[in-house]
Amino acid sequence: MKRILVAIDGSDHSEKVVNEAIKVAKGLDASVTVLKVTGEYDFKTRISVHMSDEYWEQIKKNMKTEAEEVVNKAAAKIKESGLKVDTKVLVGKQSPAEGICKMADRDGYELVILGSHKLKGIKEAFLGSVSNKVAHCTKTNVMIIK
Amino acid sequence: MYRILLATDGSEHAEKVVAHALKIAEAMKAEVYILTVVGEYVFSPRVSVQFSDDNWKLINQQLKEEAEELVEKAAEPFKAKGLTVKTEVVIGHQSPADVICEKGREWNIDLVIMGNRGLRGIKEVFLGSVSNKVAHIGCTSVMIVK
Repeated sequence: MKRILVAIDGSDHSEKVVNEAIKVAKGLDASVTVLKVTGEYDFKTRISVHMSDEYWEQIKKNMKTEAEEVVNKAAAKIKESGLKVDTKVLVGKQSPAEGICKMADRDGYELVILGSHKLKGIKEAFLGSVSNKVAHCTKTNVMIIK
Repeated sequence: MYRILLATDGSEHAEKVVAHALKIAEAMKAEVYILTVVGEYVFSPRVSVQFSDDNWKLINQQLKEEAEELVEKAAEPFKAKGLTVKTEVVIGHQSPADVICEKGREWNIDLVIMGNRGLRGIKEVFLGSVSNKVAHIGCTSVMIVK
């Protein structure tokens, strides 16, 4: 397990995920890629008004910038601990789980580390958590940080 | 001290799980707890005859002995690396996922490591695997070995 994909969403819990990932990666002497998936998926869960294409493009651009800030901040911390690190932001129509699984399997990562989010009630029943979905959709090992 | 709980069932896939758990345990210089859960739940999908109490006792005894051998065997590679290992067999009516969570709390476990498939075949397809349930309950951080 020399290549680890750490998927974060920028929530408070991401900090713990990154800290745990550092511990594991150091022990395994592994390199780390920090990933955040963002895009329409993120957005559509929040609003449902119709928007012009131009407006969409601007929003996507902003989301990309925000996501880059999130991964860069995490990467800086990982680098500080002496590990080899790079970053990736995926912007598109895919869900976070789809994006994480696709990248993990396509690029041959040996371990995916991500946090678990406790969604409540109906939302969980219908959507399931990202971590559960990733545990299903990837062919690689998954570490879910509580 | 980082504490790992390896939940194993002696299936073919379990060997791969042990190999990965060993890597993580060495990386984290962890204390390792090896747990297997057996009991009537193992039987119920396979047979549907009524057993007498005496027969149940015999069956449970047999299962316990097999499980003890299994955890001792799983402990060997960890001991060979000089890691501290504790093994435990739990017999009873509870679901393995519940037992894993309960023991995880009792032993103050940082990470549960388990496979995504096991001995129970078709039942898992219908009910979801033990690893799914543990991840879903979210009682602790979980690593699922594929």
